[in-house]
Amino acid sequence: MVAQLLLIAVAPASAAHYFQPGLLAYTHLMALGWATMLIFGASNQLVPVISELPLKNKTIPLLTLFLLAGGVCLLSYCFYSFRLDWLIISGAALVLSGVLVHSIHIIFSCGGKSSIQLEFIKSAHVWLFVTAMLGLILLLNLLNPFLPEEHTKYLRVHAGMGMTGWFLLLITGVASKLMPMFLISHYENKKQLRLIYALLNCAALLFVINGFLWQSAIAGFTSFFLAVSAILVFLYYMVRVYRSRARKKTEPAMRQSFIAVFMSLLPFVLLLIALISEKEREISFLTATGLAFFAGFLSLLIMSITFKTLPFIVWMHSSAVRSDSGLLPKDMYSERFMTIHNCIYLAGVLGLLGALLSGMKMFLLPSAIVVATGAALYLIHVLIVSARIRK
Amino acid sequence: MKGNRSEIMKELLTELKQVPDPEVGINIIDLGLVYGISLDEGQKTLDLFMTLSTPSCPLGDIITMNAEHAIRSVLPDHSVKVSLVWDPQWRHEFISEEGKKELGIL
Repeated sequence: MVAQLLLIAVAPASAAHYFQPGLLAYTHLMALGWATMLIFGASNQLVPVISELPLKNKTIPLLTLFLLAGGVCLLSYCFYSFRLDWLIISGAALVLSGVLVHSIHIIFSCGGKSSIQLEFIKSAHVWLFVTAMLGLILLLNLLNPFLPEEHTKYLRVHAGMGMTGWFLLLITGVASKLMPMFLISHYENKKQLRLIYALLNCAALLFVINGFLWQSAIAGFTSFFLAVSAILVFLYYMVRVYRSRARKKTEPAMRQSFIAVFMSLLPFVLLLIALISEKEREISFLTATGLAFFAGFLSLLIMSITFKTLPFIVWMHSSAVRSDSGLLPKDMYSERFMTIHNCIYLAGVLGLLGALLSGMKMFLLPSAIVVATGAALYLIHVLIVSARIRK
Repeated sequence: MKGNRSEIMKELLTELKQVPDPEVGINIIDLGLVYGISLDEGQKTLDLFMTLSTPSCPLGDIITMNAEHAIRSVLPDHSVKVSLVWDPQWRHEFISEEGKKELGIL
Protein backbone atom coordinates (compact mmCIF):
# COMPACT_ATOMS: atom_id res chain seq x y z
CA MET A 1 0.00 0.00 0.00
CA VAL A 2 2.83 2.36 0.94
CA ALA A 3 4.57 1.47 -2.31
CA GLN A 4 1.45 2.20 -4.35
CA LEU A 5 0.96 5.56 -2.62
CA LEU A 6 4.55 6.30 -3.48
CA LEU A 7 3.78 5.27 -7.05
CA ILE A 8 1.20 8.08 -7.25
CA ALA A 9 3.99 10.50 -6.34
CA VAL A 10 6.57 9.08 -8.75
CA ALA A 11 4.30 8.02 -11.65
CA PRO A 12 4.37 11.35 -13.55
CA ALA A 13 8.17 11.17 -13.70
CA SER A 14 8.42 7.44 -14.40
CA ALA A 15 8.66 7.94 -18.14
CA ALA A 16 12.13 9.39 -17.60
CA HIS A 17 15.19 7.25 -16.66
CA TYR A 18 14.65 4.43 -14.15
CA PHE A 19 17.70 5.54 -12.16
CA GLN A 20 15.91 8.26 -10.21
CA PRO A 21 15.17 8.55 -6.46
CA GLY A 22 11.40 7.94 -6.59
CA LEU A 23 11.60 4.85 -8.78
CA LEU A 24 14.50 3.41 -6.78
CA ALA A 25 12.47 3.86 -3.57
CA TYR A 26 9.38 2.34 -5.22
CA THR A 27 11.29 -0.66 -6.61
CA HIS A 28 12.91 -1.46 -3.26
CA LEU A 29 9.59 -1.08 -1.42
CA MET A 30 7.95 -3.48 -3.89
CA ALA A 31 10.79 -5.98 -4.10
CA LEU A 32 11.82 -6.00 -0.43
CA GLY A 33 9.05 -4.44 1.66
CA TRP A 34 6.23 -6.21 -0.16
CA ALA A 35 7.32 -9.30 -2.08
CA THR A 36 10.39 -10.47 -0.16
CA MET A 37 8.91 -9.80 3.29
CA LEU A 38 5.80 -11.73 2.33
CA ILE A 39 7.85 -14.57 0.88
CA PHE A 40 9.91 -14.71 4.10
CA GLY A 41 6.71 -15.16 6.13
CA ALA A 42 5.30 -17.70 3.68
CA SER A 43 8.53 -19.71 3.57
CA ASN A 44 8.43 -20.05 7.36
CA GLN A 45 5.05 -21.75 6.90
CA LEU A 46 5.87 -23.69 3.74
CA VAL A 47 9.35 -25.13 4.39
CA PRO A 48 8.15 -27.29 7.33
CA VAL A 49 5.37 -28.65 5.08
CA ILE A 50 7.79 -29.66 2.30
CA SER A 51 10.68 -30.80 4.51
CA GLU A 52 8.31 -32.45 7.01
CA LEU A 53 10.50 -30.98 9.74
CA PRO A 54 9.75 -28.09 12.12
CA LEU A 55 11.62 -24.81 11.79
CA LYS A 56 14.95 -24.89 13.63
CA ASN A 57 14.08 -21.80 15.66
CA LYS A 58 10.85 -19.91 16.31
CA THR A 59 12.42 -16.55 17.27
CA ILE A 60 14.48 -16.10 14.10
CA PRO A 61 11.44 -15.29 11.87
CA LEU A 62 10.58 -12.38 14.20
CA LEU A 63 14.20 -11.19 14.20
CA THR A 64 14.38 -11.26 10.40
CA LEU A 65 11.08 -9.38 10.20
CA PHE A 66 12.49 -6.53 12.32
CA LEU A 67 15.82 -6.48 10.46
CA LEU A 68 14.17 -6.46 7.04
CA ALA A 69 11.41 -4.00 7.98
CA GLY A 70 13.89 -1.57 9.55
CA GLY A 71 16.27 -1.90 6.61
CA VAL A 72 13.56 -1.38 3.98
CA CYS A 73 12.22 1.74 5.76
CA LEU A 74 15.67 3.31 5.91
CA LEU A 75 16.59 2.27 2.39
CA SER A 76 13.36 3.55 0.83
CA TYR A 77 13.42 6.82 2.76
CA CYS A 78 17.05 7.44 1.76
CA PHE A 79 16.43 6.54 -1.89
CA TYR A 80 13.38 8.81 -2.04
CA SER A 81 15.19 11.76 -0.50
CA PHE A 82 18.41 10.69 -2.27
CA ARG A 83 20.26 10.79 1.03
CA LEU A 84 23.42 8.89 0.20
CA ASP A 85 25.26 8.71 3.51
CA TRP A 86 25.73 6.42 6.49
CA LEU A 87 21.92 6.11 6.92
CA ILE A 88 21.34 4.36 3.59
CA ILE A 89 24.36 2.11 4.24
CA SER A 90 22.81 1.22 7.62
CA GLY A 91 19.53 0.40 5.85
CA ALA A 92 21.28 -1.85 3.32
CA ALA A 93 23.30 -3.50 6.10
CA LEU A 94 20.09 -4.23 8.04
CA VAL A 95 18.51 -5.75 4.93
CA LEU A 96 21.62 -7.84 4.28
CA SER A 97 21.67 -9.05 7.91
CA GLY A 98 17.97 -9.97 7.74
CA VAL A 99 18.52 -11.82 4.47
CA LEU A 100 21.57 -13.66 5.84
CA VAL A 101 19.87 -14.73 9.08
CA HIS A 102 16.68 -15.81 7.27
CA SER A 103 18.57 -17.68 4.53
CA ILE A 104 20.77 -19.62 6.96
CA HIS A 105 17.72 -20.49 9.05
CA ILE A 106 15.69 -21.65 6.03
CA ILE A 107 18.57 -23.65 4.54
CA PHE A 108 19.12 -25.46 7.87
CA SER A 109 15.37 -25.97 8.35
CA CYS A 110 15.18 -27.68 4.93
CA GLY A 111 17.06 -30.58 6.55
CA GLY A 112 18.64 -33.37 4.57
CA LYS A 113 15.50 -34.49 2.75
CA SER A 114 15.97 -34.89 -0.98
CA SER A 115 13.37 -32.78 -2.79
CA ILE A 116 13.76 -30.70 -5.93
CA GLN A 117 11.46 -28.04 -4.45
CA LEU A 118 13.78 -27.66 -1.45
CA GLU A 119 16.71 -27.23 -3.86
CA PHE A 120 14.81 -24.40 -5.56
CA ILE A 121 14.19 -22.75 -2.18
CA LYS A 122 17.80 -23.13 -0.96
CA SER A 123 19.37 -21.88 -4.20
CA ALA A 124 16.96 -18.94 -4.39
CA HIS A 125 18.04 -17.86 -0.91
CA VAL A 126 21.70 -18.00 -1.93
CA TRP A 127 20.87 -15.76 -4.93
CA LEU A 128 18.98 -13.39 -2.66
CA PHE A 129 21.98 -13.04 -0.38
CA VAL A 130 24.32 -12.36 -3.32
CA THR A 131 21.80 -9.81 -4.72
CA ALA A 132 21.58 -8.01 -1.36
CA MET A 133 25.37 -8.07 -1.04
CA LEU A 134 25.76 -6.51 -4.49
CA GLY A 135 23.15 -3.92 -3.51
CA LEU A 136 25.29 -2.87 -0.56
CA ILE A 137 28.41 -2.75 -2.75
CA LEU A 138 26.54 -0.57 -5.25
CA LEU A 139 25.57 1.87 -2.52
CA LEU A 140 29.19 2.07 -1.35
CA ASN A 141 30.13 2.71 -4.96
CA LEU A 142 27.61 5.56 -5.15
CA LEU A 143 29.20 7.14 -2.08
CA ASN A 144 32.82 6.62 -3.20
CA PRO A 145 33.05 5.29 -6.76
CA PHE A 146 35.49 2.39 -7.03
CA LEU A 147 33.91 0.09 -9.64
CA PRO A 148 35.53 0.34 -13.08
CA GLU A 149 32.36 0.58 -15.20
CA GLU A 150 29.30 2.86 -15.22
CA HIS A 151 27.09 2.38 -12.13
CA THR A 152 23.87 1.52 -14.07
CA LYS A 153 25.60 -1.50 -15.66
CA TYR A 154 26.01 -3.07 -12.22
CA LEU A 155 22.51 -1.93 -11.29
CA ARG A 156 21.16 -4.08 -14.14
CA VAL A 157 23.13 -7.08 -12.82
CA HIS A 158 21.70 -6.45 -9.34
CA ALA A 159 18.12 -6.24 -10.71
CA GLY A 160 18.46 -9.21 -13.08
CA MET A 161 20.01 -11.38 -10.38
CA GLY A 162 17.20 -10.58 -7.96
CA MET A 163 14.47 -11.14 -10.53
CA THR A 164 15.82 -14.40 -11.98
CA GLY A 165 17.85 -15.94 -9.17
CA TRP A 166 15.61 -15.00 -6.27
CA PHE A 167 12.03 -14.39 -7.39
CA LEU A 168 11.71 -16.64 -10.44
CA LEU A 169 13.65 -19.54 -8.95
CA LEU A 170 11.64 -19.39 -5.72
CA ILE A 171 8.24 -18.91 -7.38
CA THR A 172 8.68 -21.70 -9.92
CA GLY A 173 9.90 -24.11 -7.22
CA VAL A 174 7.19 -23.28 -4.72
CA ALA A 175 4.41 -23.13 -7.35
CA SER A 176 5.37 -26.60 -8.58
CA LYS A 177 4.52 -27.84 -5.09
CA LEU A 178 1.58 -25.62 -4.17
CA MET A 179 -0.41 -25.54 -7.42
CA PRO A 180 -0.86 -29.36 -7.60
CA MET A 181 -1.76 -29.33 -3.89
CA PHE A 182 -4.44 -26.68 -4.33
CA LEU A 183 -5.87 -28.21 -7.52
CA ILE A 184 -5.56 -31.82 -6.29
CA SER A 185 -3.42 -32.84 -9.20
CA HIS A 186 -0.89 -35.62 -9.04
CA TYR A 187 1.05 -34.46 -12.06
CA GLU A 188 4.73 -34.46 -11.21
CA ASN A 189 7.65 -34.51 -13.62
CA LYS A 190 10.97 -34.19 -11.84
CA LYS A 191 12.90 -34.07 -15.12
CA GLN A 192 11.04 -30.92 -16.14
CA LEU A 193 11.56 -29.38 -12.70
CA ARG A 194 15.31 -30.14 -12.84
CA LEU A 195 15.43 -28.57 -16.29
CA ILE A 196 13.71 -25.39 -15.02
CA TYR A 197 16.11 -25.31 -12.07
CA ALA A 198 19.18 -25.70 -14.31
CA LEU A 199 17.97 -23.16 -16.90
CA LEU A 200 17.19 -20.46 -14.33
CA ASN A 201 20.46 -20.92 -12.44
CA CYS A 202 22.46 -20.90 -15.68
CA ALA A 203 20.57 -17.79 -16.88
CA ALA A 204 21.28 -15.92 -13.65
CA LEU A 205 24.92 -17.05 -13.54
CA LEU A 206 25.59 -16.12 -17.16
CA PHE A 207 23.84 -12.78 -16.64
CA VAL A 208 26.09 -11.96 -13.67
CA ILE A 209 29.34 -13.09 -15.30
CA ASN A 210 28.46 -11.23 -18.47
CA GLY A 211 27.54 -8.10 -16.52
CA PHE A 212 30.82 -8.07 -14.62
CA LEU A 213 33.31 -9.41 -17.14
CA TRP A 214 32.26 -9.50 -20.77
CA GLN A 215 29.26 -7.23 -21.35
CA SER A 216 28.70 -9.08 -24.57
CA ALA A 217 25.38 -8.85 -26.44
CA ILE A 218 25.51 -12.54 -27.40
CA ALA A 219 25.99 -13.66 -23.81
CA GLY A 220 23.18 -11.27 -22.77
CA PHE A 221 20.78 -12.76 -25.31
CA THR A 222 21.82 -16.31 -24.35
CA SER A 223 21.07 -15.55 -20.72
CA PHE A 224 17.73 -14.05 -21.75
CA PHE A 225 16.75 -17.10 -23.81
CA LEU A 226 17.78 -19.48 -21.02
CA ALA A 227 15.43 -17.64 -18.64
CA VAL A 228 12.60 -17.54 -21.21
CA SER A 229 13.06 -21.27 -21.88
CA ALA A 230 12.77 -21.92 -18.14
CA ILE A 231 9.55 -19.89 -18.01
CA LEU A 232 8.10 -21.73 -21.01
CA VAL A 233 8.88 -25.15 -19.47
CA PHE A 234 7.35 -23.92 -16.21
CA LEU A 235 4.18 -22.72 -17.96
CA TYR A 236 3.94 -26.08 -19.76
CA TYR A 237 4.28 -27.77 -16.35
CA MET A 238 1.51 -25.59 -14.93
CA VAL A 239 -0.78 -26.39 -17.88
CA ARG A 240 -0.22 -30.13 -17.29
CA VAL A 241 -0.99 -29.65 -13.59
CA TYR A 242 -4.16 -27.74 -14.45
CA ARG A 243 -5.36 -30.30 -16.99
CA SER A 244 -4.84 -33.26 -14.66
CA ARG A 245 -6.60 -31.64 -11.71
CA ALA A 246 -9.34 -33.53 -9.85
CA ARG A 247 -10.96 -30.29 -8.87
CA LYS A 248 -12.69 -29.22 -12.06
CA LYS A 249 -14.56 -26.32 -10.41
CA THR A 250 -11.59 -23.98 -10.04
CA GLU A 251 -11.93 -21.15 -7.53
CA PRO A 252 -11.40 -17.52 -8.64
CA ALA A 253 -8.21 -17.29 -6.51
CA MET A 254 -6.70 -20.17 -8.47
CA ARG A 255 -7.84 -18.82 -11.83
CA GLN A 256 -6.33 -15.43 -11.03
CA SER A 257 -3.11 -17.11 -9.86
CA PHE A 258 -2.88 -18.83 -13.23
CA ILE A 259 -3.42 -15.52 -15.04
CA ALA A 260 -0.59 -14.06 -12.92
CA VAL A 261 1.65 -17.06 -13.66
CA PHE A 262 1.15 -16.49 -17.39
CA MET A 263 1.89 -12.79 -16.89
CA SER A 264 5.45 -13.86 -16.07
CA LEU A 265 6.07 -13.83 -19.83
CA LEU A 266 5.17 -10.14 -20.16
CA PRO A 267 8.34 -8.70 -18.56
CA PHE A 268 10.43 -10.89 -20.87
CA VAL A 269 8.57 -9.69 -23.96
CA LEU A 270 9.15 -6.09 -22.85
CA LEU A 271 12.79 -6.82 -22.07
CA LEU A 272 13.29 -8.34 -25.52
CA ILE A 273 11.85 -5.20 -27.10
CA ALA A 274 14.14 -3.10 -24.87
CA LEU A 275 17.17 -5.13 -25.96
CA ILE A 276 16.49 -4.65 -29.65
CA SER A 277 15.12 -1.09 -29.59
CA GLU A 278 16.93 2.22 -29.92
CA LYS A 279 18.48 3.93 -26.91
CA GLU A 280 15.59 6.42 -26.37
CA ARG A 281 12.93 3.70 -26.37
CA GLU A 282 15.11 1.30 -24.37
CA ILE A 283 14.71 3.24 -21.12
CA SER A 284 10.88 3.24 -21.12
CA PHE A 285 10.81 -0.46 -22.04
CA LEU A 286 13.25 -1.27 -19.23
CA THR A 287 11.10 0.68 -16.74
CA ALA A 288 8.02 -1.14 -18.10
CA THR A 289 9.86 -4.48 -17.68
CA GLY A 290 10.43 -3.78 -13.98
CA LEU A 291 6.85 -2.57 -13.55
CA ALA A 292 5.40 -5.62 -15.34
CA PHE A 293 7.55 -7.89 -13.18
CA PHE A 294 7.00 -6.37 -9.72
CA ALA A 295 3.64 -4.60 -9.95
CA GLY A 296 2.21 -7.01 -12.55
CA PHE A 297 3.26 -10.65 -12.39
CA LEU A 298 4.68 -10.79 -8.86
CA SER A 299 2.07 -8.63 -7.10
CA LEU A 300 -0.92 -10.15 -8.84
CA LEU A 301 0.34 -13.64 -8.01
CA ILE A 302 0.77 -12.70 -4.36
CA MET A 303 -2.60 -10.91 -4.26
CA SER A 304 -4.36 -14.00 -5.62
CA ILE A 305 -2.50 -16.65 -3.66
CA THR A 306 -3.04 -14.63 -0.46
CA PHE A 307 -6.64 -15.82 -0.55
CA LYS A 308 -5.56 -19.44 -0.87
CA THR A 309 -3.19 -19.30 2.09
CA LEU A 310 -4.28 -16.57 4.53
CA PRO A 311 -7.83 -17.97 5.04
CA PHE A 312 -6.23 -21.33 5.97
CA ILE A 313 -3.87 -19.76 8.47
CA VAL A 314 -6.72 -17.75 10.02
CA TRP A 315 -9.05 -20.77 9.96
CA MET A 316 -6.44 -22.98 11.69
CA HIS A 317 -6.17 -20.42 14.50
CA SER A 318 -9.90 -19.92 14.96
CA SER A 319 -12.72 -21.88 16.59
CA ALA A 320 -14.00 -22.67 13.08
CA VAL A 321 -11.39 -25.43 12.99
CA ARG A 322 -13.93 -27.83 14.60
CA SER A 323 -15.91 -29.61 11.89
CA ASP A 324 -19.19 -28.92 13.74
CA SER A 325 -18.65 -25.18 13.20
CA GLY A 326 -19.64 -25.67 9.57
CA LEU A 327 -17.10 -23.03 8.51
CA LEU A 328 -14.39 -23.76 5.98
CA PRO A 329 -11.36 -21.62 5.01
CA LYS A 330 -13.21 -20.49 1.88
CA ASP A 331 -15.86 -18.91 4.15
CA MET A 332 -13.23 -16.62 5.69
CA TYR A 333 -13.03 -14.25 2.72
CA SER A 334 -15.16 -12.84 -0.07
CA GLU A 335 -14.39 -14.21 -3.55
CA ARG A 336 -16.34 -11.33 -5.09
CA PHE A 337 -14.41 -8.65 -3.19
CA MET A 338 -11.11 -10.34 -4.08
CA THR A 339 -12.02 -10.41 -7.77
CA ILE A 340 -13.05 -6.73 -7.65
CA HIS A 341 -9.83 -5.43 -6.05
CA ASN A 342 -7.59 -7.66 -8.14
CA CYS A 343 -9.32 -6.50 -11.34
CA ILE A 344 -9.02 -2.84 -10.32
CA TYR A 345 -5.35 -3.37 -9.53
CA LEU A 346 -4.66 -5.18 -12.82
CA ALA A 347 -6.50 -2.48 -14.80
CA GLY A 348 -4.29 0.15 -13.14
CA VAL A 349 -1.08 -1.76 -13.90
CA LEU A 350 -2.09 -2.28 -17.54
CA GLY A 351 -2.96 1.42 -17.74
CA LEU A 352 0.46 2.35 -16.38
CA LEU A 353 2.22 0.05 -18.83
CA GLY A 354 0.16 1.42 -21.71
CA ALA A 355 0.90 5.02 -20.71
CA LEU A 356 4.62 4.30 -20.30
CA LEU A 357 4.99 2.51 -23.62
CA SER A 358 2.80 4.84 -25.67
CA GLY A 359 4.36 7.93 -24.15
CA MET A 360 0.92 9.25 -23.09
CA LYS A 361 2.15 10.73 -19.83
CA MET A 362 -1.27 12.15 -18.84
CA PHE A 363 -2.46 8.61 -18.12
CA LEU A 364 0.39 7.82 -15.71
CA LEU A 365 -1.11 9.55 -12.66
CA PRO A 366 -4.73 8.30 -13.11
CA SER A 367 -3.41 4.75 -13.62
CA ALA A 368 -1.25 5.01 -10.50
CA ILE A 369 -4.35 6.12 -8.53
CA VAL A 370 -6.26 3.08 -9.83
CA VAL A 371 -3.34 0.80 -8.79
CA ALA A 372 -3.32 2.38 -5.31
CA THR A 373 -7.11 1.94 -5.03
CA GLY A 374 -6.80 -1.77 -5.85
CA ALA A 375 -3.97 -2.12 -3.33
CA ALA A 376 -5.98 -0.27 -0.63
CA LEU A 377 -9.01 -2.55 -1.14
CA TYR A 378 -6.70 -5.59 -1.02
CA LEU A 379 -5.23 -4.34 2.26
CA ILE A 380 -8.72 -3.79 3.73
CA HIS A 381 -9.70 -7.32 2.68
CA VAL A 382 -6.57 -8.83 4.24
CA LEU A 383 -7.24 -6.93 7.49
CA ILE A 384 -10.87 -8.14 7.57
CA VAL A 385 -9.77 -11.76 7.07
CA SER A 386 -6.96 -11.44 9.66
CA ALA A 387 -9.40 -9.97 12.21
CA ARG A 388 -11.26 -13.30 12.23
CA ILE A 389 -8.32 -15.00 13.91
CA ARG A 390 -9.24 -16.63 17.25
CA LYS A 391 -12.91 -15.69 16.86
CA MET B 1 -23.32 -50.47 23.31
CA LYS B 2 -25.64 -48.37 21.17
CA GLY B 3 -26.81 -51.10 18.82
CA ASN B 4 -25.58 -53.88 16.63
CA ARG B 5 -22.35 -53.66 14.62
CA SER B 6 -23.92 -52.65 11.29
CA GLU B 7 -25.92 -49.89 12.97
CA ILE B 8 -22.78 -48.57 14.70
CA MET B 9 -20.86 -48.62 11.43
CA LYS B 10 -23.72 -46.80 9.69
CA GLU B 11 -23.75 -44.16 12.42
CA LEU B 12 -19.95 -43.83 12.23
CA LEU B 13 -20.11 -43.26 8.48
CA THR B 14 -22.82 -40.63 8.97
CA GLU B 15 -20.67 -38.79 11.51
CA LEU B 16 -17.48 -39.10 9.44
CA LYS B 17 -19.41 -37.63 6.51
CA GLN B 18 -19.64 -34.44 8.58
CA VAL B 19 -15.83 -34.14 8.60
CA PRO B 20 -14.64 -32.09 5.63
CA ASP B 21 -11.26 -31.84 3.99
CA PRO B 22 -11.02 -28.06 4.57
CA GLU B 23 -9.09 -27.47 1.37
CA VAL B 24 -11.43 -29.39 -0.94
CA GLY B 25 -14.63 -28.72 0.99
CA ILE B 26 -15.82 -32.32 0.59
CA ASN B 27 -16.21 -34.83 3.42
CA ILE B 28 -13.48 -37.39 3.98
CA ILE B 29 -15.76 -40.34 3.15
CA ASP B 30 -16.83 -39.04 -0.26
CA LEU B 31 -13.28 -37.94 -0.95
CA GLY B 32 -12.16 -41.54 -0.37
CA LEU B 33 -9.68 -40.66 2.35
CA VAL B 34 -10.93 -43.33 4.78
CA TYR B 35 -9.36 -46.68 3.93
CA GLY B 36 -10.75 -48.79 6.72
CA ILE B 37 -12.35 -48.99 10.16
CA SER B 38 -11.47 -51.76 12.58
CA LEU B 39 -13.90 -52.03 15.47
CA ASP B 40 -13.26 -54.41 18.37
CA GLU B 41 -16.40 -54.37 20.48
CA GLY B 42 -14.93 -56.69 23.14
CA GLN B 43 -11.81 -54.54 23.71
CA LYS B 44 -13.81 -51.34 23.10
CA THR B 45 -11.25 -50.10 20.60
CA LEU B 46 -11.60 -48.54 17.17
CA ASP B 47 -8.83 -48.06 14.62
CA LEU B 48 -9.43 -45.72 11.72
CA PHE B 49 -7.07 -45.97 8.77
CA MET B 50 -7.10 -42.97 6.55
CA THR B 51 -4.92 -40.97 4.17
CA LEU B 52 -4.64 -37.37 2.94
CA SER B 53 -4.91 -36.05 -0.60
CA THR B 54 -1.23 -35.08 -0.35
CA PRO B 55 1.36 -36.25 2.21
CA SER B 56 2.55 -32.69 2.85
CA CYS B 57 -0.99 -31.44 3.61
CA PRO B 58 -0.58 -28.90 6.44
CA LEU B 59 -4.15 -29.57 7.57
CA GLY B 60 -3.52 -33.27 8.31
CA ASP B 61 -3.61 -32.85 12.10
CA ILE B 62 -6.89 -30.95 11.96
CA ILE B 63 -8.56 -33.52 9.69
CA THR B 64 -7.48 -36.46 11.90
CA MET B 65 -8.51 -34.55 15.05
CA ASN B 66 -11.97 -33.92 13.58
CA ALA B 67 -12.29 -37.56 12.49
CA GLU B 68 -11.41 -38.70 16.02
CA HIS B 69 -13.92 -36.22 17.45
CA ALA B 70 -16.63 -37.58 15.11
CA ILE B 71 -15.93 -41.18 16.17
CA ARG B 72 -15.99 -40.28 19.87
CA SER B 73 -19.42 -38.72 19.42
CA VAL B 74 -20.71 -42.18 18.41
CA LEU B 75 -18.51 -44.33 20.66
CA PRO B 76 -17.62 -42.21 23.70
CA ASP B 77 -16.50 -45.23 25.76
CA HIS B 78 -14.10 -46.60 23.12
CA SER B 79 -10.41 -46.06 22.74
CA VAL B 80 -9.96 -44.42 19.32
CA LYS B 81 -6.82 -44.44 17.21
CA VAL B 82 -6.57 -42.64 13.87
CA SER B 83 -3.65 -43.77 11.71
CA LEU B 84 -2.45 -42.08 8.53
CA VAL B 85 -1.42 -44.51 5.81
CA TRP B 86 0.22 -43.72 2.48
CA ASP B 87 -0.09 -47.05 0.72
CA PRO B 88 -1.97 -47.03 -1.55
CA GLN B 89 -1.41 -43.39 -2.40
CA TRP B 90 -4.70 -41.53 -2.68
CA ARG B 91 -5.95 -41.19 -6.25
CA HIS B 92 -8.86 -39.39 -7.90
CA GLU B 93 -10.52 -42.76 -8.54
CA PHE B 94 -11.18 -43.11 -4.81
CA ILE B 95 -13.68 -40.22 -4.86
CA SER B 96 -17.32 -41.33 -4.64
CA GLU B 97 -19.90 -40.46 -7.30
CA GLU B 98 -21.31 -37.80 -5.01
CA GLY B 99 -17.86 -36.33 -4.40
CA LYS B 100 -17.10 -36.29 -8.12
CA LYS B 101 -20.32 -34.37 -8.73
CA GLU B 102 -19.33 -31.79 -6.12
CA LEU B 103 -15.86 -31.40 -7.65
CA GLY B 104 -17.33 -31.02 -11.10
CA ILE B 105 -15.69 -34.18 -12.46
CA LEU B 106 -19.07 -35.68 -13.45
